Amino acid sequence: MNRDHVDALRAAFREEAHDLLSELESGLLGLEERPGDAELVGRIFRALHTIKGSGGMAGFSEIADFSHEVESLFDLVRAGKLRVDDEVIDIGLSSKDVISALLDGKQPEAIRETVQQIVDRAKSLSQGKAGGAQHESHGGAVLTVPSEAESREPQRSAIYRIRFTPSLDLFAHGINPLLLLRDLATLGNCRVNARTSEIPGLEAMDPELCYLSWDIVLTSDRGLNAIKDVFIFLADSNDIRIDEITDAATIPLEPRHKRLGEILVERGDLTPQSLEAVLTEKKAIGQTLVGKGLVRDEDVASALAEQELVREAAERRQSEFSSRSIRVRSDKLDSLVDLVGELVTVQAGLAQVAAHLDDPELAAASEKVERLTADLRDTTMGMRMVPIGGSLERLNRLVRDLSRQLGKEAHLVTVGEETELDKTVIERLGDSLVHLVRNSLDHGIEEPAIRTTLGKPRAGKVHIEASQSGGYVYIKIADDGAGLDPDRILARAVDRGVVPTDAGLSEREILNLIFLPGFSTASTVTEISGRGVGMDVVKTTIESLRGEVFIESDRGKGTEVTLKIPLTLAIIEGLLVEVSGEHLVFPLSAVDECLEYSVKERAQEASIGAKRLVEVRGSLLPFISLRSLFSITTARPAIEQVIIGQVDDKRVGFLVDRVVGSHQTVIKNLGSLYRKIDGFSGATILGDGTMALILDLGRLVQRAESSERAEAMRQAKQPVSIAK
Amino acid sequence: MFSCTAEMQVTESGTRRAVVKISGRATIDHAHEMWEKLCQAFAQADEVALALDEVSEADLSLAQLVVASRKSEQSSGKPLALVGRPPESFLGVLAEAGVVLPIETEREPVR
Repeated sequence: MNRDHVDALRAAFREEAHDLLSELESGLLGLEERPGDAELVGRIFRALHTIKGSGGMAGFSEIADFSHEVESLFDLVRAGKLRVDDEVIDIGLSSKDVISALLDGKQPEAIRETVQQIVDRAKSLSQGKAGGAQHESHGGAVLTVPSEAESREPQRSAIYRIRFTPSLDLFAHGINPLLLLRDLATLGNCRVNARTSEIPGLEAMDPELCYLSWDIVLTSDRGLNAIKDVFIFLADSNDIRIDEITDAATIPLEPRHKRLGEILVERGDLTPQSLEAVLTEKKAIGQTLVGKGLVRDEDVASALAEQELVREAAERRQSEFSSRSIRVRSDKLDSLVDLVGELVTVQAGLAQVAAHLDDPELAAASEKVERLTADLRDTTMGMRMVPIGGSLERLNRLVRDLSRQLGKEAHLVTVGEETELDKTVIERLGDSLVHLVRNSLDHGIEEPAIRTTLGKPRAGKVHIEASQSGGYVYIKIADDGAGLDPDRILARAVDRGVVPTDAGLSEREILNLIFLPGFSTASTVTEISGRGVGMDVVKTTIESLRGEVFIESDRGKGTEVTLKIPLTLAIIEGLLVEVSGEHLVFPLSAVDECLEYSVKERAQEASIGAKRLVEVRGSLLPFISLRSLFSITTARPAIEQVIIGQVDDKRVGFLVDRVVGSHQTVIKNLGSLYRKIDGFSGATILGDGTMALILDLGRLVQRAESSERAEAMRQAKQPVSIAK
Repeated sequence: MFSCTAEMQVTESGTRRAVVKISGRATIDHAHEMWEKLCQAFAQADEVALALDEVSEADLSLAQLVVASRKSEQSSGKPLALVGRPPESFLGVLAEAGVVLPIETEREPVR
C-alpha cells in the first residue's frame, strides 16, 4: 500500500469517524433519557464497532484498541447483562472525547492516563456488576480479549441456516439447550423453530431424553466462528449444521424471494421430483406437501420463517439503499457553486445581448438557458443544504455537562431539526448557538432550590426551535429562567456612559444594549459566560451572515433570542436598481413593494427632522434617500421609486432613481479593503461585466440614523446669532 | 418446591376425569415424576386435564411432556385440556425455544 493510499484511507476514516462520534454522543445522551431503549444501545454499539474496525484498517491502532474496550462494555449492555446508569453513560461520553482527541492528532502518550482510567472504570464496572451473571455457557471474564482478526476487521452481515439436532442424552450432560439458543440470539436477528415430530407419545418416551431439534435462521455480522463458538462445548454426537444462505449485503434490492418448495428442496426435506409432481396441482404448496405426507408441518413452518427473514433483510437493505448518500468533499461543492455562479452571470449577459439584438430565436434560446440555469442553481444550492439537527445535537452534551458543572438541572428540547441551511451558514452559526445556550444556563436558569421556591419545576428548560419562512431560517433559543432585568441593563449602560441618564429608551431598546461590545450585567465573571464578549460577537456573526438577532424577555419567566438567517450565502434573488447611473441590489426577500415617487410628491414631501416621510395608503412611512446617504449631487430624475422593505421588523422605504428588475445575484465578497464600508454586504457581477453592490438594509438604516443624530447634535451646538 | 398430583374425578355423566396438577419447579430433575403421573392419568381416566398455572419455573422437559401428552391424546382418543393459562415463565421458555404448544392455552377444562 503506497503512502498516498494510506493518507487517503486515514482522511476518509477521520471524516467518517466524526460522523460516527456524533452518532455515538447523541445515542448516549438519548440513552441517558431512555435507559431501556434497545435500539439506542444498538446504535451506540454499531458506532463503536465501526470506529474500531475502520480505525484499525486505517492504521489508528490506539483508537481501535480503545474502542474495543468500550465496545465490550456496551456489548454487555446490549446483551442485557449490564444495566445502563450514569457511570455507563459517563464512560461512553468520556470515551467519545478521547477518540475525538486522538482523531484530531492528540498524541496517545499525552492522554494515556485518561485512557487508562476509562478502561479501568469500564472493566471494573463490567466485572463488578455483571460478573456472576454473564457468559453462563462460556465462563471467563466479561471484557474478553478478541482474536486479532476480530478486533481489526468488521464482519460482513450474512444469513445463516442452522439445524441443531442434539443427541438424545443432552439433558443428562447437564446442558440446557435454551441457553445455547439465547447465546445465538445475541449474535443477531434470530428465528427459532423447534421440531417436535420426534417426540413420541407418553407411553414410548423417556422423559429425561431430549427429542427436540431446531431450525434456526440467523442474520448476523459476527461471522461463522462466533456461531460455532456457541456450540463449542457440545460433544460430537450432537448434529450441528451451519450453512450460509446468503450474504446480507448482496441480497438483490428487489429479490425474487426463494419459493417455499425451493427452500425445502435445498434443505433436503423434499426431493425435486416430489416438488415437481405437487406443483402441477396448483394448490398452496405447503398445505399440499403436508397433506401428501411429503413434509411435516414443522418443515413448512421453518422454511416459511427462513423466507420471511430473507425478505426482511432485503427490505432492510432496500431501505438502507434508499437513504444512502455519497460523501463529496465540501471544496468540490464550493467550486461547483462558483461555476454555477459564473454560469448565472454569463446567462445574464446572454439575456442582455438577446434583448439588444431583438432576435426572437436568440431570445428563445436565451430563455431556455435561463430556465436551465435557474434549475441548476436550485439543485446546486440544495446540495449544500444540510439539516440543522446535527448542530443542535451537540448542544445536548453542552446542556448536560454545563448544568452539572453549575449545580443546576436543565434539559434541552429541540424542534425542527430537519430544517435545512447552507452548510457554510451552519458552520458559522455553531459558536453563536453554543454561546446563547451557555448564557441561558449560566444567567437564565435558576438553581433547583430557587426554582422550587418560585413554583417552577426543579429542572429548567432550554427550548430551541428552527423553522423556515421564505428565504430565511428562524432559530429561537428560549429558556424558562429568570429573564433579563431591564433596570440593571440600563443602570450598567448609564454607568459605562453608553447611554445618557435621560435617554428615554423603550424596553426593547434597553434589551438590545446587551449586544453592545463589552457589555455584561453578570455580577461575577464565570468560566462559562459573563465575560461580556459574547452577545456582541453573536450579533456580529449573525449580521455577517446577512441575518438579524432579536431578543425578548419576560422578567421571572424567561428569555427568547431569535436568529433570522438567510438560507444561503452564495446566490440570492435580488432586485436591481439604479442610483445616478450606478447599479445596486436589494435582497428580494426583504422587499415588500415599489412605489413611484414623482416631482409632485417631492414638492409635498413631509419631514420630521432629517427623516423623510412618504404617504403609503393613508399612512406615513419613513424613507431614506440613497442619493443623500451616499452624498450624490447629480440631478434627480423626474420620477423616482421608493423600495419598501422590512428592516428589524419595521417597514422602511429607500428612495432610488429607477428599478431595473429582478436579478439572480451571485454574491461575491468585497475585498478586505472595502470590508469596513458600512451598508454593503457584498457585490455581484452583472451581465455586461459591470459590478453592482449588494445593500445591507439594516446597516443602511443604522447609518442613516447615526447621520440624523450627528446632524441634530451639530444643529444643537451651533451658536445662536443675535442681531445687533 | 415441586409437586405433581393426579386427582381422579367422576363427572355427572359418569366420565372419569384425571386432573394432573403440577406446581413449583417443573424442570428436568422432576421430569420422571411428571411423566409417571401423566401416564397414570391417561391409563386410568377417560379424559385428562393438565393444570400448570402454579408452575414457578419450567424448562424444555416440561414442553416435551406437553407435546407427548398431546400425541397420547391422539393415539388414545382421550381428550386432553389445559386448565387455565400456563404461567408466563413457561410461555417465555416456549417462545425462546420456538415451540408451538399443540394445545390451546386458554381452553376451559372439560366438565
